[in-house]
Amino acid sequence: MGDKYYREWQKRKKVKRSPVYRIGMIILGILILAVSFYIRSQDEDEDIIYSSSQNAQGFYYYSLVAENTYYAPLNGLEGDALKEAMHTLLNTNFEPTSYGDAREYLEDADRSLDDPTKVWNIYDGVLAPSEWDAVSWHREHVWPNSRLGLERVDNIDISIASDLHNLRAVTPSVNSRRGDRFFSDGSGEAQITDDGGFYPGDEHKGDVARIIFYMVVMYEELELRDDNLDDLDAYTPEGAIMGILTTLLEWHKEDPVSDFERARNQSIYEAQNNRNPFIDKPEYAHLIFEEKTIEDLKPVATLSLWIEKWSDMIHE
Amino acid sequence: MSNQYVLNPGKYFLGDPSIVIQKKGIATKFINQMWDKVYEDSIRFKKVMIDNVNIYLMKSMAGDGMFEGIGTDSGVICIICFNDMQNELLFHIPKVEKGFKWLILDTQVSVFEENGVLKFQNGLEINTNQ
Repeated sequence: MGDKYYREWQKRKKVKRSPVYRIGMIILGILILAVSFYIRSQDEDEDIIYSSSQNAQGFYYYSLVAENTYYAPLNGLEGDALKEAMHTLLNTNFEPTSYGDAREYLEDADRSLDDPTKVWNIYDGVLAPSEWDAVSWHREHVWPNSRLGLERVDNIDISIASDLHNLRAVTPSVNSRRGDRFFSDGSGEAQITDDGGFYPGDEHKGDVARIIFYMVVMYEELELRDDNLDDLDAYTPEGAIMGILTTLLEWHKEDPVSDFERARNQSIYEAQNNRNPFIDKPEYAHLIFEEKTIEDLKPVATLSLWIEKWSDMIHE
Repeated sequence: MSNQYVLNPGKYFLGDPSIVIQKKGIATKFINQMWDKVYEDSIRFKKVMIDNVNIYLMKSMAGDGMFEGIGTDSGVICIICFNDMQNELLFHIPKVEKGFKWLILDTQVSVFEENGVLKFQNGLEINTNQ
């Protein structure tokens, strides 16, 4: 009996020492690691569903535009070159309005797509009568007035403070609570955050991000960053700072461009003759603020496409 | 008839509460209480007292903006006595006087609101109806 078990043990030992067995075990180990990594990555992303024009990490795919169209001068550019060309494009033939006149323009630009008699207020989504009455809605500077680096302007003045892209209809009490706070992460409805910032709400965070991106490209005196955003001196050039940049970039991915933003962009284009590029071409944000390249943002073939191609080749 | 108040002689901050009230810690409760009182009714100009600090607040007629050199991101302009602003956990005193004013009153001055214009007895007026 003892000899039988000894021979069996020796046989198994030989098998374990064989190169085929060892390679098999290594492959099995790699497979287990790969499967567990895949399951873990799926768990992490389960709450975020990006739009069909975004990849699995939320990055928008890059596409060129036709010649002789608005964004044609930006074709093929990335990084600082793209930012500089965009700055020039946005300022070319720009026809700003006064802050006083902005009331009338916002009645149209911020009009609800569901009810044309109302404007859709930012942060709380309240529908307010579109006609200005000084009570139902006010003009919110998404990039705060006090952080624009201006010491003094009045309502009749045309300035950075009257750029329509940066102005949104807002419920007065919500406007007060937001004040001049920088934007900070949260979830759910609009609220003040523990770090002294302001969360604009799940439905509005992408809109906010794209407005801030527009402002920092349009006006070179503005700065967008991640830290030291509190206790700045208001109404000074040194205080012309907003953030949080990395949070805004995440919001840009998590809350994609809406039909409301597209309609608003067109309305403002008709009023002041420039567009918000981050609404029309959201991928530009990755190229300017995230050091991504055009190559990084090209659509990659999915596994199913590869299988389809492979299948076609076999049948040929 | 609008509310009318008398300011005693002293130094007062005149501007957006957003730029002088701290944004974190105990100041969060303070400022939330203040906004609750401001918006509990439709009165445009009122005095509120929170933690023994008197604040005179006027809702701007035009919301955000810059009115006679006084800027606001909260759509509200306030008056606070400098002596009441010494708690650093509640107040942040700006280093440079821009976008707001320090009012120095040698005598008692009354203040009231009329059609979106904040009017001081000494002749100073802040018109937010623009």
